[in-house]
Amino acid sequence: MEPKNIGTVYSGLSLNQADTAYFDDQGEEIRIMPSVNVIKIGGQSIMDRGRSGLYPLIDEIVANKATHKMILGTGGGTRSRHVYSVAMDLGMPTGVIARLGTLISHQNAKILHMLMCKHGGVFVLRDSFEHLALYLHAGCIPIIEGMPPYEIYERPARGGRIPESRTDTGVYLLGEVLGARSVIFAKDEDGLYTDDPKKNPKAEFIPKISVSELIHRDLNDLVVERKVLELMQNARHVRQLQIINALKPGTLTRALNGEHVGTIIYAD
Amino acid sequence: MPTEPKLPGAESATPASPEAGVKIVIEQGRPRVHVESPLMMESLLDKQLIDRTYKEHEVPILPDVHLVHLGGQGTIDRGAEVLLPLVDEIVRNRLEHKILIGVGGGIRERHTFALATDLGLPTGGLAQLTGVICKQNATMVYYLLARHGGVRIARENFHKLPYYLNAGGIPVIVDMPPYHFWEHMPRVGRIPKHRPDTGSYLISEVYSCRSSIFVKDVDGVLTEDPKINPRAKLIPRVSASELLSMNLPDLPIERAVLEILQLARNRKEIRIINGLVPGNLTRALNGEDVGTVIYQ
Repeated sequence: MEPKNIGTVYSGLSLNQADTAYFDDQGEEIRIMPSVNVIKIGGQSIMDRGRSGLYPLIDEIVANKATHKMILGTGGGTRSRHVYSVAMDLGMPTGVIARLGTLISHQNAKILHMLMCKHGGVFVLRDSFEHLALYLHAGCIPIIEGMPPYEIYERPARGGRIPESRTDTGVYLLGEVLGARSVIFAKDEDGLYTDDPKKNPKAEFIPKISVSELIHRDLNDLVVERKVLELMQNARHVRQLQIINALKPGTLTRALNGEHVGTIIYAD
Repeated sequence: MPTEPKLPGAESATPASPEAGVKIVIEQGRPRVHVESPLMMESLLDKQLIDRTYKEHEVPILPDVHLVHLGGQGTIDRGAEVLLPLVDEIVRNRLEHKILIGVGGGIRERHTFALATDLGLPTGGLAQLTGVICKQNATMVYYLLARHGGVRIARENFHKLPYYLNAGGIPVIVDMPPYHFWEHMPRVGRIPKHRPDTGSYLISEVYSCRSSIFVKDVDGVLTEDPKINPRAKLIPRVSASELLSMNLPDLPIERAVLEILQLARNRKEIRIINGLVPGNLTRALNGEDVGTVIYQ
């Protein structure tokens, strides 16, 4: 018996063909939430600083609420590093390590939610993403865990065992699929340097760089996950992102207003 | 008393020193609080650090389980004629083998892609939608297997798999991986890269399954499209990189599986078999030569 077809251009077609002519973009891809700004709140860089790092940033986010729609995604930080260390010592595969990391970014999202409740912060699980539009319309600030949902379906890493798709990747991809107005990574460095500025004082600041140039430079260390660079090359909507030092008052506001205040990485 | 097999690496572990314990560390000059660990204050993107995390052996999680993927279009969409004999074959083998069944999408998945693409939805939107087709198929397979111990397991309950398997059950899972909105954008078009074959393979890799068997409606990987050239030959064994470099116009397996296979640590080969031929699945479960084996 032949498969029961329902007459579409794809019926009977294999989706694994090398010739992708059938699947070429048909018309414009819509932007699901074109006015929203997706902001990543760094784990080690912001959350782990506690009150001194987080309180002023929350104030700044709240001050921007009337002008900008925002979705916040949280990173993991030091507890992620600890659980990765323990899990790797125990011989856990990358997929399990990704699952464990997700729970820390989940914790951080809940922390941020409790702090921001009084300002309309809502903790949104991935299963309830259909409510994002409602929350934004009601003037709320949705808060999500930054990790992508791959967990045990995470690809094995190309080197070592730390999952390659972590919270930078999750927050960036969310911005891209929503067709967001901007994606901003709030961290504790002014942006991208030629090396880790916390360890190498001679590291030079890079204000703006293309994805291909950055991949080509093959820096030993980066302020943003390499996976994000890879994915940006195929981006339809979010073709640039900005990494900012959110510890400097006013920087997030200026970034939301479209100013160049950190490092801009753009797809060429 | 028989000694328990040790986990890989356990013999080389150094005994914990009494001082070793968890410490909370407050960074000098910066108001950051850390938990002491080898990754403390490290950038996880540092290449040397990443290399240091490599380990030869990972914990085998479900090493005696065969992961059998039932293709959507190749088996389920063909209805009773193909699916019922396959179900019988699974049931006949369950006493000898622990079998975990994963189910694909098929033609309704393709229809969803066609409709959603036409409407302008992004790749992540397509990926968000198609899991339910696998769910429908998994539901049907579950009902066929229920009287033989079939049990439908949602992803949140994967940690109970050993229990169901030890109780003689045949767990049925959805193979569409949960990439959802976070699916990677392809270079061309909008078809999600990570589809049911990839989901099934990733589970066999992370759980170190005994085998990863893909039940399709072709004999395996052929040198040409058999519909165009009936004399196309079956390739019995091929490496993932070789297969990708052959640049075949079509493949019976998702390309993402071949990419990931090259990075695998645990499940380093997969097998594609023709589920329309009775006995093929049994032979594959017994490790006999049938179909195409793709290896790392």
